[in-house]
Amino acid sequence: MLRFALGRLLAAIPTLLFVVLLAFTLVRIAPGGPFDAERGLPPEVEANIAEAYHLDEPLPKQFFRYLGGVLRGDFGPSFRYRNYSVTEIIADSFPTSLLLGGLAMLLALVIGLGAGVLAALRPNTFTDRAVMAVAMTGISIPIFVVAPLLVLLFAVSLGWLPAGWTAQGGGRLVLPVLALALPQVAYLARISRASLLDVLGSDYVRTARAQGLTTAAILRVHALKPALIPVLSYLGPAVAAVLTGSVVVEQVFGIPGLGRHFVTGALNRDYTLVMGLVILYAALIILLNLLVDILYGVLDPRVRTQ
Amino acid sequence: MSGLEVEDLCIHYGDTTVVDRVSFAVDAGQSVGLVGESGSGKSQTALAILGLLPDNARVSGAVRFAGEELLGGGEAHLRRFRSRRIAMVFQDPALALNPYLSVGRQLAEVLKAHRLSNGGPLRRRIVAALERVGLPDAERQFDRYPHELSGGMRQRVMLAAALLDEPELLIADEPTTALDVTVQAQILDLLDSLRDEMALLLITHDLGVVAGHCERMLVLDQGRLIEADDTLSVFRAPSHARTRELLDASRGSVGAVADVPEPRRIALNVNSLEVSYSLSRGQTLFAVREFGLSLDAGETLAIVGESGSGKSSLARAVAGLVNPTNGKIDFRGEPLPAGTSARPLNRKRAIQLVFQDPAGSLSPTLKVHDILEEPLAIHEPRLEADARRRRIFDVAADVGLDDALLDRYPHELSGGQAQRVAIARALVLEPDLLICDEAVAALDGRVQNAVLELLKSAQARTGLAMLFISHDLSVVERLAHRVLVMYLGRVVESGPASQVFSAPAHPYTRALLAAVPRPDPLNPGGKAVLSGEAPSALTPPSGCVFRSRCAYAEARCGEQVPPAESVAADNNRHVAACLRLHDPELNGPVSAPPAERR
Repeated sequence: MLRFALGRLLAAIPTLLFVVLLAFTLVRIAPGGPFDAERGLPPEVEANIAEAYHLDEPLPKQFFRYLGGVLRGDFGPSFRYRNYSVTEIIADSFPTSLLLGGLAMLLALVIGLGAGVLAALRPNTFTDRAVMAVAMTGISIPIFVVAPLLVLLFAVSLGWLPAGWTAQGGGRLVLPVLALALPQVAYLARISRASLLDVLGSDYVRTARAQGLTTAAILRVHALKPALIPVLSYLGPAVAAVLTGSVVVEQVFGIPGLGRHFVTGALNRDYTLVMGLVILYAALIILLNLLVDILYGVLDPRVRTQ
Repeated sequence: MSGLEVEDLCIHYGDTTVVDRVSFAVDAGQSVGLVGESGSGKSQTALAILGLLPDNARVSGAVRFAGEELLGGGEAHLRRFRSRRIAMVFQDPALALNPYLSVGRQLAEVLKAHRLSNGGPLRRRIVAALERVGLPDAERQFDRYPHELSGGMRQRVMLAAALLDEPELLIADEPTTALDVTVQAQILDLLDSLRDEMALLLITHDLGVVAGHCERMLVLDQGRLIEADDTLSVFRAPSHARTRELLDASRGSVGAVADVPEPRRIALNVNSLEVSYSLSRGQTLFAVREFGLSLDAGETLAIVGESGSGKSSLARAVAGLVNPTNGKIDFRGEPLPAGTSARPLNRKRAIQLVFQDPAGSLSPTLKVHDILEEPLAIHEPRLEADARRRRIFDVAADVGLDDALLDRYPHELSGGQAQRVAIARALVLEPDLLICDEAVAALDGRVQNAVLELLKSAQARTGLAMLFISHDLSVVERLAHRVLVMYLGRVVESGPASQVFSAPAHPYTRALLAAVPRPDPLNPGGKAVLSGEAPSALTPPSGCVFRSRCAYAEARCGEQVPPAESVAADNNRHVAACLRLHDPELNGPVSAPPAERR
């Protein structure tokens, strides 16, 4: 197991390098630069800035300078937020997103899997149809509609919860977490229903019924573990997406999270910030997929022996 | 009344009736065979008894066990019977066991479900149950997972689970269909030996199995019970015409095998062929070793062997679907390049294949007409549209496909029809060599016979050579001119079919033939001469590959790979690879090998 994990981590290094190279090239291909302004700067100022940020060097040299920094844990200065390094920006905003995303994912897992199991146990009944209808709605209504609606209902009309991040206490977490969790609840309910239905129709579940096991025992012993496999495959990338924050949710609730930097960084041509985020995201994806693969092995003995 | 009574059982799915007013009884201690073709409703009947049908099935009638009604009592009521009084084993133990749980855990859950977990240490009792069904090394198997066991071992585990609570009735639904014939014989013997007081309802398509193991038999046809009597009486004097057809089909009432046309022309020659696969951790699996064969035009050579014998790898190497690691394949006197990409188009055209699973080997997105047209479009692109259409209709007529079927998609065909399409697709190119890889294994007896007839008539018409890969000796008997028996990648015996079947020389061939169930209650075959299963092809025994299961093995068998020798001095066509081929002890009666050597 340990050897497998180490091997996979080593194999991730070239992937990460490739991602860095790709990000580096793509941002620079994009028209415009970080210091383009409406009114052109005097050429000598522009030259000064370019020198300060090493933008006057040939591209390969810039790339390796950047890479050297990354290896030392230094993602360079932000090109836009003066006096801030990319590392500082990420360290500032990532914990907030991590907290919100983590809570949202936990909530989504509990509700989503519960609803999926409930629906799968009573296929084609009212319960099933109701769960699936809610899930379908959750998937099809975009988050920028759901989030303001939540604010309208719980903050403005009912006044139960604060609408923004400026409020103190845990109450300010509730609405953003709900908004982030809702689409995940829907996806997870659909996936877990489908996979559990599949397992419940399998020959070995029929065997277990013929052996006189109760439905509860069949679920606990025979069905839940295999039904989790497709859920796991979905969770890898989904968790990465949720943990890195959502621009829309942060915008609606005024949260200083990581998500908005993905957009503003790109719009501002903040080369170092964009690349820092890309590396963070890629590393997160690789790590989570590795975790998923390890969990496959924990769940499925056939994977373990391979 | 202590047995099972089924009365007026009906099963409907929507408007379709799959079981229609079926009534029968299984008395205490009795063994009853329930036979019928696929779709006759036999498995549905079995599942209905224990309430295991899917939710959309509508069931009516009565199912009583020891006087108590089972139908409509709800799950909790049924659980009092399931596995406690009526146990069930299913067809494919690879699917019927949960791949995520260890063997011991699965049996432990049964004990827990029956509240039997207090009668002493669980592990010891489960190991004892596994030993009772003859599972080798039961202590070690407790912690293993189903995928680590062989097919026969898995079915033993299923049986052990079924018998944990000493049920009064065991329902076995095709319990040996997924197993090799020598393993089937062992499992059926085991079933008989474990029965004691227990009644048995054995569901099977194989009349040979019923002949050897059931006192009474029931015949289902399209959901109706058409026969219920003593096995012997049914075999002697079936009362229903359909029963007679089934019996005839199982006895293989196919015309005699025609002679190979003279003068003989060699179609295929394979020399010292080796096919190996590289696995992880630097392991190499030798699927075929030092393999040779020759095949004449107009001749059918059957390659016989159990799973893991390498017969399919051989077929694929000849067809160019895998690259052999060594050896030479000559086709019509010219060397055949390895791999399809290296072969010229006309060579590929001359060798065609028919696979086991007819539905799976036809593209689901093409209509039958297009399936038959595709090979022509590739190999004869200049053919006029008119001529092309004529070829398609001709070949469809040749294989007995109705014109109306040409407009259908594969999923709208029956198994037999789909296999006819697969054969027509191969024949439309007028090949010189047809490779059939288990081509009739998925078909019912009557359909099997029809397809075999079809292959024979195609051969008589076109003089094609056939390489017929099969595990089923009763099928081979009806079709092949010559037979070649494989075991763990090597040829152990080959010769004219009549000679191999009437006077098998190699101990393995003899055991294989003895294990085939025969549809004759007085002489049912199905003898378990061999114990255990073939070792993994990854770790074959040294010397003679068969020696680990051979009753006649001696020390020298491990030192030398036996060369192929003529069975009789005056006959160089029938050869076998056994060091003791001419030993008088080996040539004694098959069923009584010397006891001290077992």
